[in-house]
Amino acid sequence: MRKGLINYWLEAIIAIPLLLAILIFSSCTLQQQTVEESLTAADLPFQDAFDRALLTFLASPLATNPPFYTTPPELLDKGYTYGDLLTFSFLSSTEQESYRQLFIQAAQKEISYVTPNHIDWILTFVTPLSNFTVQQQTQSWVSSPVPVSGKTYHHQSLLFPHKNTPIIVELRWWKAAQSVINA
Amino acid sequence: MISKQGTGALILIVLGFGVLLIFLTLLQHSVTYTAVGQTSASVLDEVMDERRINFYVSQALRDAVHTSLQQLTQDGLAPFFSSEDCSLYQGKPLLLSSPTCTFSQAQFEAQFLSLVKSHWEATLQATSYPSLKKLPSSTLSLAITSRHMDFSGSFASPLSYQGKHVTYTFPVTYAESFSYDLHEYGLFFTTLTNNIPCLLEYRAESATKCSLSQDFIWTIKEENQLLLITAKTQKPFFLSDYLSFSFAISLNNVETPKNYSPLFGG
Repeated sequence: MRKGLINYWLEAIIAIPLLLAILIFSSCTLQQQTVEESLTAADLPFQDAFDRALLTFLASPLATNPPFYTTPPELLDKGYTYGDLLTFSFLSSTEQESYRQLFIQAAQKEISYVTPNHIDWILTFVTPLSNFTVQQQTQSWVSSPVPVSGKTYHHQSLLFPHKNTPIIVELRWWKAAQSVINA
Repeated sequence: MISKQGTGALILIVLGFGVLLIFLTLLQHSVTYTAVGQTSASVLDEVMDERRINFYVSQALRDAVHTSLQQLTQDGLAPFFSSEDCSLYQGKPLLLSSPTCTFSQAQFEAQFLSLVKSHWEATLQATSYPSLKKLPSSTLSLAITSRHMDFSGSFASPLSYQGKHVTYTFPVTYAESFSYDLHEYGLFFTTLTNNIPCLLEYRAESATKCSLSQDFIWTIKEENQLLLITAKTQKPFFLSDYLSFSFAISLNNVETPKNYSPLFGG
């Protein structure tokens, strides 16, 4: 004679937690994959938009009266562009660093204006002697210094002319922390 | 103890969920790898190379102009007076010592353009984009007007791009403007030409009697029947650097410029 279901208590004790564990694990894994997939499909045009914004910024004339930083007097009214700030390789390292800081400050502001809030990015300039970075400027509760989803996109944005070896400009970007939580 | 039937049911349940999990995982992976937008993003990226390369060429031109301006602050008159055209004294041109050792706007512009072009081509020939490996011939012209210096030109033939998704050709053109007119050179030569008789008469001792331009700091010495003159700009010329002209003039044999045309109305 078959036993009633109520009599399989030992099997039930083993099977139910096991099933729960499988369900929890699978739901977590699949949710994460969905986030990554939706990021790829929706946000890949960001890369193109960013490259265009970067080229426009590099060719823009220096702001004569910038709101957040000071342009040195020797750069005023001479038609210099932001890209020019990276090309004065004949200057001393101190002067080059000073112009580079001006470039970083301006790039952080100007490019951040045209990139969406739900994406964080870091731009790395690989020069023959050293590297420097420009990072997306957002409010701290939205941005994260490292990608939360684990999915980061890497891409060579452009090459920039330099004395003998061009500067390689690399873009790394990911979905901002707040957006991942909401996804 | 677990019965045989119970064990069988348990194994079937676990296997069933395991298969379901594997199926769902594989399904999700297949969606991830064929993401919509990835191919079109790659195409956009490749099409952007035209703009990147045009920017590279233009920015290299800007760099060449700035490098040339900086070279002027280092060398002053040297780029414009070779030893073939002009006798040298202690490395300084002996100005107006012969008909070829003089100065004209056309000569000045041609030599400055040549200087810029040499720097520009050196940068373009450095390793960069594959499309720039074989550079076609190019044109580069210079127009100097009051307070502006404009360079423009184009590559004689279009460049080609070969990517994974697209292949195309595109023209390369450039037009860059700079807020420099190099009027310091014109001002310097105007002053010098107008003051040659005065300098020869009063020499180094009383050169202050001559009407030398106040835009320069003049240093004048006499040595071996020569006036050794340095004229340094009062204001910075390029970034924080000043322009300085060092030259010599013979007290015995000066070739007065006949067809001298002042630069830019200076």
